[in-house]
Amino acid sequence: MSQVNLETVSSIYHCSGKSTFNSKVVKNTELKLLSISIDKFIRKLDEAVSDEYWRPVIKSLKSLRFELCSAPLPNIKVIENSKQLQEQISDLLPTCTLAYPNFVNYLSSISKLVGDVSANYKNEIAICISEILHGLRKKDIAVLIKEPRLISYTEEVLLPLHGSNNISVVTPELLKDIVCFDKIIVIGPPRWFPDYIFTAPRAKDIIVIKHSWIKGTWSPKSIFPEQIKQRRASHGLSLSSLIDNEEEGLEPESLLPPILDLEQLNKNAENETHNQIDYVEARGYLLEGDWAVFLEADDEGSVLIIDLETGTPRPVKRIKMRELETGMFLLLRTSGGGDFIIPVANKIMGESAPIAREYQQEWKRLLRKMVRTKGYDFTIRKLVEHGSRIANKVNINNWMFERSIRTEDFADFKAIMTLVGLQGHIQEYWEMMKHIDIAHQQAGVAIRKMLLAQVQASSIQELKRTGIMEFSIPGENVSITAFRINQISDAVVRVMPWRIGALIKQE
Amino acid sequence: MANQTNKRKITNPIVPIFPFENLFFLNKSRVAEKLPDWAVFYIKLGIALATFDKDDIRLVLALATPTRTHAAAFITAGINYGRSFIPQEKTDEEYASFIFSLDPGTPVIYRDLDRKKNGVIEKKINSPDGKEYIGIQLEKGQWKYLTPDKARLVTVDERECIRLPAHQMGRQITTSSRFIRSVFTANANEFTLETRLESAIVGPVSSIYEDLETNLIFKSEAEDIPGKLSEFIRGYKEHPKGIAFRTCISSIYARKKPKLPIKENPFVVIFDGSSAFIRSRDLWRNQNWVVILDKTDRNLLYAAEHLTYEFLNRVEKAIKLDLPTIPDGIDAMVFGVTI
Repeated sequence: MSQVNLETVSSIYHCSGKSTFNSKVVKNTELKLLSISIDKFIRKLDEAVSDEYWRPVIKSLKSLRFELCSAPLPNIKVIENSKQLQEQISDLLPTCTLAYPNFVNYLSSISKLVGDVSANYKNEIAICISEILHGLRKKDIAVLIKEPRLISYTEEVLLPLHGSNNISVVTPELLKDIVCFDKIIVIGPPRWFPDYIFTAPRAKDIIVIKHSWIKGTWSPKSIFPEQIKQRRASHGLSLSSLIDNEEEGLEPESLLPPILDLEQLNKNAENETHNQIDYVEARGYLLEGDWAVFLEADDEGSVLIIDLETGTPRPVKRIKMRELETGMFLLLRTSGGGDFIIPVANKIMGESAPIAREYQQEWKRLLRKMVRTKGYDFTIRKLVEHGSRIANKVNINNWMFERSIRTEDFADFKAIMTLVGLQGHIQEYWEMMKHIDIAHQQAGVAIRKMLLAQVQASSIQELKRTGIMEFSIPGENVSITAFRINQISDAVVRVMPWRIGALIKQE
Repeated sequence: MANQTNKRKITNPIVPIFPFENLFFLNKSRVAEKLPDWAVFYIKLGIALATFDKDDIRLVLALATPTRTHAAAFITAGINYGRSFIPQEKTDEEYASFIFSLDPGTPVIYRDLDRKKNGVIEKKINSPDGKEYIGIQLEKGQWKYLTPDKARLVTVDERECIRLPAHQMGRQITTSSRFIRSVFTANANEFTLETRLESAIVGPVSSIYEDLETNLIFKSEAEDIPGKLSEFIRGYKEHPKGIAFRTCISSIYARKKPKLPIKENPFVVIFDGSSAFIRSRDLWRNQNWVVILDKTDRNLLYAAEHLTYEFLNRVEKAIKLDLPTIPDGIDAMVFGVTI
């Protein structure tokens, strides 16, 4: 990280003290009618909205509605998405007539409204932006959108509008940096965005564009219970007074795109653990781009991340699971699934890799068989008898799991080998596990070095902006992707071992 | 034995006005500009905090800022500046009496011109002229005899015992730079040569060190004198062993207080960022706190929650503190907590 000049920092303080806020309201009657109809339809469905039958079309409806009011989409994209949605509804109608006859009219009406929106689409947001930019010369302008996956569409539409201005399409993460624009154009109601966009503004002039039928009221939350009075009233108050919505409107939060439901994810995962032996205790993580993953709920376990917020010159690092926070970037294998260290470790071991892995799988398989046939209590008792100091259910589950290489203590390993009938080969197996362990450590170091070099060569800004970036390990058919963590589940659930580290995409 | 907190009796110390008018920085075009208002605010804030003096109450000052960068560095600069004008804990006579009362064999550090040497208290002697001298052995066969007025050249070494070499050159003392002499004037040498743990900064260490590299200029009528922000901080790790320091800098991941060669607690701890405060606050429960929260930080509200909990346990009586006017964009809260 390079030193920040005081002049640059000054621009941030200058913005904070003297920013002006304005709002622009766009009107689109067809979109308003469609949005309200979708809302009514969802309320009418009531609990049935989470049925397998309705979930896909509700997701599509909400996605289209959100996209249309959160970014200046190109005409062709709107036509395409609308057509797909109409086809989806059309496919649903025959079964709807039989199973849900009361909702056929709703669906038909919504389909027609989708067609109206598409046919009459004028890209009012783009027109509004164009009006704002009119007359501006050589300005640094940021267009802030909520959803990173809409960046490329927004950039495409804004390209002809640049002129002599420098226009950047940004997401909220980028407005944490020490950067100051002449103007920020915010697309969407203020409540879609983190408070700091308005309380620690990165521009002297902020303009909020939103549709007339979305409520725009917002006021900054107090950070401290009792504050020392400032010279003048906080500019934040002036923001809320500017976005005074006279029309009835939809709540901004209800318009946000559907995200993976962590609770549902947890339930589905738990349902898979049909036997009590092969499971791992895990926690769910919602990631950027509608992805999710389960990681072991082991606070002392470690994971590789990129942390761009602490300003360290080594953003690629291994941290304890308990230190994971939203905003950090998890590094996960995206080709092949599972741990990305294993193929690199296998390469380090060379010709001895296959036999080493066989040894590893053999004693674990026998231990799992023991637990399955004799039960945990018996296994624990026998391990203790054979000299194990820490035999319990949690540790046995770890030892059985493919991702753990060996026990930490030789005494525990000896106990396991004796129990499963491999007492004549203890030292041989132990040495082999040590061999794997060393290879894994070397692989970890190599991967971290390689990733650090790639991260430093890549655009950190792009990673912050989009929340996802892919890296590849040279010489290996392995790709690793950095995903921003958006939410971490509090609940610990049981999942099948193969779920750990395996990416889940929102259906 | 618990470390003593660096508290000295403050009886109306006279803190000269910080020479803001003379301090400049180089902007992106390499043109000298006056220190910005926000930096001036932070330095003034530090100076105001420096003279907080309540034995039974510790201060908590929380700031929510549009960016955390440089805030901790400038506040610490103000604190170290302000604290440097607080009189010594002991007067010259009291200090001489203290040194002269040390037991033979006590390890000490002796300032010999521009070098610091290890020594051991030997004995007191009374010369025929009636003067009292304290003898300090520096090497095998070499002693130094000092009169009471020279007592300030001697400080107690915190080590239990030391072995004297046959011959020692001592460690070079860095005397105060022209930049520091321009800012601190009469106090400059004492600021540079004497260790006092005035402050601790807990935060993202690499970012903090980046901030400390900020180049400054002291513009006088005669000339421009370059310096760095780090010269106000005098962090422990930048200085070779034995050289005076005023601040220690600790990582947000540290689970213990930093190991220092003196048994002293800082007067104030500056938590640079939400994570620093959340992770480390329990290590520094007996010190005054300055908590800097970046409004863009992902843990802002979580840190604010913890601060609110501290606030609920505050003392009711008002804290008298002459704080500078808070600039727009910065939210602030101050209260006292019983120690």
